[in-house]
Amino acid sequence: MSANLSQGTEGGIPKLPSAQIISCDDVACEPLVDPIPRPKSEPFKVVMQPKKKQVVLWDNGKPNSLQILKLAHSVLRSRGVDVRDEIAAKPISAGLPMNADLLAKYAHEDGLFLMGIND
Amino acid sequence: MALTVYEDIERCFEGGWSDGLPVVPPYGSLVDRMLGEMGWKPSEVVGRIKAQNIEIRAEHLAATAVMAGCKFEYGRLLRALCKGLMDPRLNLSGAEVTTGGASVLVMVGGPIVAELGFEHEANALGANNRANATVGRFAQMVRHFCGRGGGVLQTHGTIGHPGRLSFCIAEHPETVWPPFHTQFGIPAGTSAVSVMTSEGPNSINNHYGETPEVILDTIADTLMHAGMTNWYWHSGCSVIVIAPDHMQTISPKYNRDQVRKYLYEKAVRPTAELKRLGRITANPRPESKVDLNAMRSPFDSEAQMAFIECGKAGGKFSALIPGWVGARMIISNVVE
Repeated sequence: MSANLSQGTEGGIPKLPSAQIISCDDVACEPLVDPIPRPKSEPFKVVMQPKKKQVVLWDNGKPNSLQILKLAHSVLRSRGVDVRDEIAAKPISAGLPMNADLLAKYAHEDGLFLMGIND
Repeated sequence: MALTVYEDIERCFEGGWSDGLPVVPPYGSLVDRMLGEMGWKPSEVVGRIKAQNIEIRAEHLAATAVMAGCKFEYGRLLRALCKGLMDPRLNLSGAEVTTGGASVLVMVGGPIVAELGFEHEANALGANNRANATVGRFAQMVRHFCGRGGGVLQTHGTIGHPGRLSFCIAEHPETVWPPFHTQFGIPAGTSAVSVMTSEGPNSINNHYGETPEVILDTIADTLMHAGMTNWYWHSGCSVIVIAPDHMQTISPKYNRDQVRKYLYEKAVRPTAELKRLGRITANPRPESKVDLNAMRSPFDSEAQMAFIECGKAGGKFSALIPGWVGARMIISNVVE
C-alpha cells in the first residue's frame, strides 16, 4: 500500500476531497464553505467488458502517436485481434482539450478504445 | 478559540482542502464578506469546465480567496482575475494535470498596484508581500481546486516549479514603455490583471554589457536555449521581464515593438540541430511546419512575446517566463 497524501491517493486510488467540513467550538458548530466544485454527475462510467470485441485506435495528435498506433494496429491484427481499419484522429491540437461533440461521439463506442500518447 | 481555528486548519488538510500550506478556514461569515467585495451572490455560476461537467460558483471562489489569505479589499481585483481564470482559453484543468507542471502566472498593472500595495520592485517575481503572495496563491488554488474534476483527476506534473504555490508579479506604476496590458488592447491608465499558464522563470544576467544589442542578444539566447519547450509545438507565449537597469540600456535606442522584432529575428536555431538534439520529433506533424533546411524560431509569430517592467534598480538582471504550450494566449481583463 502506497500513499500519496499531496494528491489525496491511497494505493493509487484517488481519495476525494471532503464534501463537507464542520467546525465546532464549545458552544456551536458550523459548516465551512466548500471551495471545490464537483461534477454534477459521476465523472466517469467504467465499463469493464466492451460490448463489442473490437479495438478502436485513437490518435491524440502528439508527434509520435500515429506511428505507435500504426504499429499497434499491425501487431494486434497479426495476433488475430479485430481492429477497426480507420484510426480515429483528434482534429485539433493535442495541446487543447477535446471538444464536447467529439467526446460525446466517442463515448458511444462499443469496442475497446485505445489512445496514443507520446510527446 | 485559537485551538478551534488550529483544529479547523488541520481538518482542511485532512479533507483535501489545501494547496499544501495551512489555509484560513473558510468560515461562512468570512466568505460572505468576500462575496460582497467580489460583487457576487453565493450560488451565481461564474465558470464552467464542460468536459468535466463542473459548474464553478461564486462561493467556491470566495471561499478560496479567504483560504489563500486575501484581504477583503482585494475583491474587485479578484473578480477580474476570476474572469481570466474561468476563460476556457486558459485551459485551467489542462494546466493542473499536464506533465509540463504549469502554474498560472498573474500579472497586475495600473493604479491598483499602488492602491493595494503590491511589491513591484525588490524580488518582483517572488515578493514577500501579502498582496503578491496571496493573490498569486489564490490563482494556484483555483487551478488546483477547480482543475481536477472534483478530485477525480490527478496532476501529472513531472517536476513542476515553485510558482505552482504562488506566482503573481506587479508592474511598475510608472513604466518606460506603455504598460503591459496595452499589448492586449487595454488603455494605459487603467488597472488590469492578466493571466498566462506558465513554466518557471529563467533569470537573465548581463552585468557587463554596455550596449542594447548585447543585452538583447543575451535575452535572445535565453529564448533559444535547447530545452525551450516551444521548439516543436510553437503554441506557448512568453513573458519577458525587463528590470530597470537593463531598460536603461535598451530604451534609449529601442521601443517595445523594435525589441520584439529584434528578438524574434535573433532567437533562432538550425532546425536540423534541434532534430539532432531530439528537440524536434522524427515524425513531425504537418501543422508543426518543420523544415529541416531552415532556421527555426520557438514562436510562430513575434506577437507571442509580451514585455513587463518590474524589479528593483541596482542589479542587471531580467527574466524570461515561458508559457505552457497547452494555452495559446495571455488573457487580460480590466479591474473595474
